[in-house]
Amino acid sequence: MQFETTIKGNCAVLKVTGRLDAAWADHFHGAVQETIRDGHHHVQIDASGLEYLSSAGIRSLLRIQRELAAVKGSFGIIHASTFVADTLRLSGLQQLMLSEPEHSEKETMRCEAVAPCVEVQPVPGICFEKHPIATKGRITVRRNCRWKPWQPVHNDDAVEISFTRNVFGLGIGAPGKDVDDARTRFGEFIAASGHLVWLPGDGEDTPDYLEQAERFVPRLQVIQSLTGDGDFSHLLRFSPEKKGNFLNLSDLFLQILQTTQSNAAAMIGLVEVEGLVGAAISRSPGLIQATDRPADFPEIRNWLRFCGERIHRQAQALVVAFLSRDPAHVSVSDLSPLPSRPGIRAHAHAVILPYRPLQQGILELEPSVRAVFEDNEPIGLLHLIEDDRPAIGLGQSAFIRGACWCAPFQFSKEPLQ
Amino acid sequence: MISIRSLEKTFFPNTPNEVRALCGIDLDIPEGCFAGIIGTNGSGKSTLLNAIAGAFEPDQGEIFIDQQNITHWAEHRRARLIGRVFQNPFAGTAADMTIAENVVMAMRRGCKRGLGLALRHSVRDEIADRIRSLKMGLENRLDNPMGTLSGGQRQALTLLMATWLRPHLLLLDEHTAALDPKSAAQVAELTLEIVRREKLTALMVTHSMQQAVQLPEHIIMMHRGQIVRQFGGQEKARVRVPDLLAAFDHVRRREQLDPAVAEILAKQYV
Repeated sequence: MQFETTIKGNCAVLKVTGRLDAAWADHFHGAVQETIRDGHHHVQIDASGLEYLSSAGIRSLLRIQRELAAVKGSFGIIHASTFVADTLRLSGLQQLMLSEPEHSEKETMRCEAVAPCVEVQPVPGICFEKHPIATKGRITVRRNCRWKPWQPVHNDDAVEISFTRNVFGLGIGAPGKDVDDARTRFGEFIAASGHLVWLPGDGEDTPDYLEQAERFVPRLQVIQSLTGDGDFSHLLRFSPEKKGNFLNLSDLFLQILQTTQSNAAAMIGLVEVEGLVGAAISRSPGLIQATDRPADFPEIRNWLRFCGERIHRQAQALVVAFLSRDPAHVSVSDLSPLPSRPGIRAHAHAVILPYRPLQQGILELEPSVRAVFEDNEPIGLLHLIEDDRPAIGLGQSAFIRGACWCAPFQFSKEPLQ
Repeated sequence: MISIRSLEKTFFPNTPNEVRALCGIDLDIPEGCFAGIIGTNGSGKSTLLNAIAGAFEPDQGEIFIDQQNITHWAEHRRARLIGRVFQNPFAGTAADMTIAENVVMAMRRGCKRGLGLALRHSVRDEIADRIRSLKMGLENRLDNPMGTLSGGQRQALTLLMATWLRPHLLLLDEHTAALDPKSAAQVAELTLEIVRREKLTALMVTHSMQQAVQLPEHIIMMHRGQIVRQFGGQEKARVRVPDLLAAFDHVRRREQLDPAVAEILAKQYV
């Protein structure tokens, strides 16, 4: 099977030559998805060179149609041969076939509809769109740091937090009635828009999750956390100017601070991953004994695991981060200085999910997060760090494109209502 | 049951070729448990089996089979308690002797042998009955030399011979690795059938993740002479090949957490 891609306005046209059958369906889907990853959400298949179409091929076409419909994109087949056209017609899928004039008309209409509002280009190779959402948007951040790392966890070290849709956050916690119930499972968590994902601290890689539904609200026993609530002031979108470009985490953080025109900002991001660098708890801190020294080498190997390489390339990540360059926050132990930008202190967690394209333009946070989790299982969770070891360091996490909701934050000592 | 306490073995000590093959192995396999050992090359799987079989004396530690301390027993003395199947299908049988003669040898393993007729008619019938259970048609070829059989047939017979006297412990050292896929599947199935029927305590080394998931009820994962993970009980029931691969990946990543990474984590991991 051969592909030839041409870009007409805002539409990518893939000329496919060969047989679209069970043997080639996955390869075909991968090739179209690569085009979608490049930012083309209006895709047409030029089927003039398609010799055969089996049910496996049809399934692949429908899958792509669904994925593009979910991001308000479009998909259709042009120049279908008689055999392909008959197959689609007899299968009741004639709506997939587009006539040439219809194609041109739709193309023009779509190109106008999604014209990007590029404002500045402060990072070479990356395009940014900054969309104000609420001019007075601010986030109130609450800290819970009763547990002192890496000391034994006492019964009064945990608080139960309800993660309703308007509360987001990160930290270390586990579900349970109380500390003792959760003791063996404390691990990193991330919460956003009614979705709570945590990594049970039992050495497993697979996160577990809870979703808010009707009257059910996800709750967690938390021994350390940063939680935020309020309104986001901006949506920052970024994408590569050309294939191969990506945005480093520290550059993203700087953009967030500049966008929000603040010294301290909180963000929730949905991003396509170029590579993640991070660590996670492999043994619950609830099991620390007074004689243990979890932070010392080599004992640290029993308690934390390091990614070892840049991981989860091309997956999607939901990132929650709190960042500050406010000198008043130097003593905030939850925020660590970034080695690549020591002036910025940050704490970021990422939950990793299989790739789903994101709709272009202005997005709403809650439906976007919900769409990412729909029929999708989290595959990993990391506390993002920078590996600045000379020569062999893995560097920092980086992203290909994404949407970040952000706002200035201020700390509050008032309990969450 | 088998118990191993603080077992250590270093080959070529104090030389440039020094290999720490077993580094403080502690292991308990209860009576009637079928355990599988997996690990990377050089992880110590076969060395552990050889230490139990008595191929060498450990530097330190003790080995117990059914509460008997066999640590210093010679290999032939341990053969009374241990049945063994090797990777090489030609290693467990004598090629020039007939099938029946080979089996008779196995029937008298660990016993004193006199000058009486070894292969009486009643014995032949018993051998034929047991061999029929292999469903390979070998019961009609008892007088054929063992060397005329295929690798799979010889390994199946070796397995039968190793378990003829119901050993206290059955050691299987990658016993399907040298067979073609169909024979390997047949011998694997036969292994499970015999171990379950005879309620044997068995220890199987394997490189096949699929086999480790399907056959034993307990999985022991070794790396660099140590047991790094065990899957038993309910956890074993849900374990799949990707879980084992992920566990190996954990081991690899654990080693990548060196002092320099530990320093980074101390600074950045709150």
